[in-house]
Amino acid sequence: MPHKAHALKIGANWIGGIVSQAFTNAPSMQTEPTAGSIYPLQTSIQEIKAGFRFTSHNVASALSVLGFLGVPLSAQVPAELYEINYGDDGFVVAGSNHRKIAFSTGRAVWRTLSCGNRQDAQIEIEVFGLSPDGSTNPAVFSEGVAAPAAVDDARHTIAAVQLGGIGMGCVTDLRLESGLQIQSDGCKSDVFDTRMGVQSVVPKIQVTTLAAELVGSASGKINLPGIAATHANTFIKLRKRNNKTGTFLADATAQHIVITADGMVVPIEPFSAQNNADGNTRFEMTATFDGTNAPFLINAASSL
Amino acid sequence: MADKKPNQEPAPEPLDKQALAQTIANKTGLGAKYLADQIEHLDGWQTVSGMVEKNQFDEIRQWISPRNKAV
Repeated sequence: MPHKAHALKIGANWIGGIVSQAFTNAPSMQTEPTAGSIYPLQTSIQEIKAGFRFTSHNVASALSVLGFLGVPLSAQVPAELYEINYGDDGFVVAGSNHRKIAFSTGRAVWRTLSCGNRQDAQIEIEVFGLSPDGSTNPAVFSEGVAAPAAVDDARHTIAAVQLGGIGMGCVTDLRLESGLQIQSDGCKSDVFDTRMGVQSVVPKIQVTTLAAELVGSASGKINLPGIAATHANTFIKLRKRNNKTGTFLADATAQHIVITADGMVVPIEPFSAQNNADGNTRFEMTATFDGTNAPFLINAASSL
Repeated sequence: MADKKPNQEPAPEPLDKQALAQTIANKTGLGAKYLADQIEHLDGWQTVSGMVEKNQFDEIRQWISPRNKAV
């Protein structure tokens, strides 16, 4: 029977709108033929790094749970991936005939948030599954579970972007990276990872705009050496679409997404164009810690 | 209408839980909804409110996060 993807559940919170889902194992195999045989006589696994990867359109739901740095998993807040059983008739098999894989130790983080002009924003999520002791499988498999109800709660798209006090004008593409460098590892030669460390967090924002005039030396422009940006003069605004119409939710309704950042903005591609197509200008902002707040302040339930 | 007792203490202002969770999220990098769920689970809104007033955000993160496990 084929199985298909479903929503991600973290604790009591569902993250729906899934467009891709993967359960990864990443075994590191040791297979070394030794003297006397061109074939390996021994093979083993040195390490296993189990995890989930999801891509979702439900950006607000994801950010409200994951925040900027992600969340630690626990018995109370596990990450759960569902595999929904489909019958040969092409539809969901009735009853409790589905599968669930859960991690109760580890961390769930978001990697990138991207949105093109007029497109629906999407977010990439990674879940690290750790073993509590190095030998216990980090993944708990549950067979015969009921299929959860379908979840897909919202769509957001670009509203406005301002970096370092400079409005980005006609934005056509947006990409944010959480920038978490996470190393998970084990010890005592245990196969499963038991711990993880955040090596660094260097978040970035990349903005593509048609406003080439934003690059320059005059006031109100960004020169080649870049400018400083603060939470007070920098924002990414993603507006929520109304379902079933071609309109947006009222700006005053607190269901939009606003992200502010501190750091430095620099034009990484002041102008590029092909034939007679509109030229693009790309800015990149590297976010930093201002001594008080996280480099990205994320409000997934904000007015605009 | 019942008479108000002369020495009755004014009722405390209700906590704006969403704003409080967002404030903690801004400082700790954790998700506001995750924080709200955890604080609710621990019945700790008054506790974290006091900790926020004292800027004890590292303590809040440790308080609500799962205990470090022995390996």
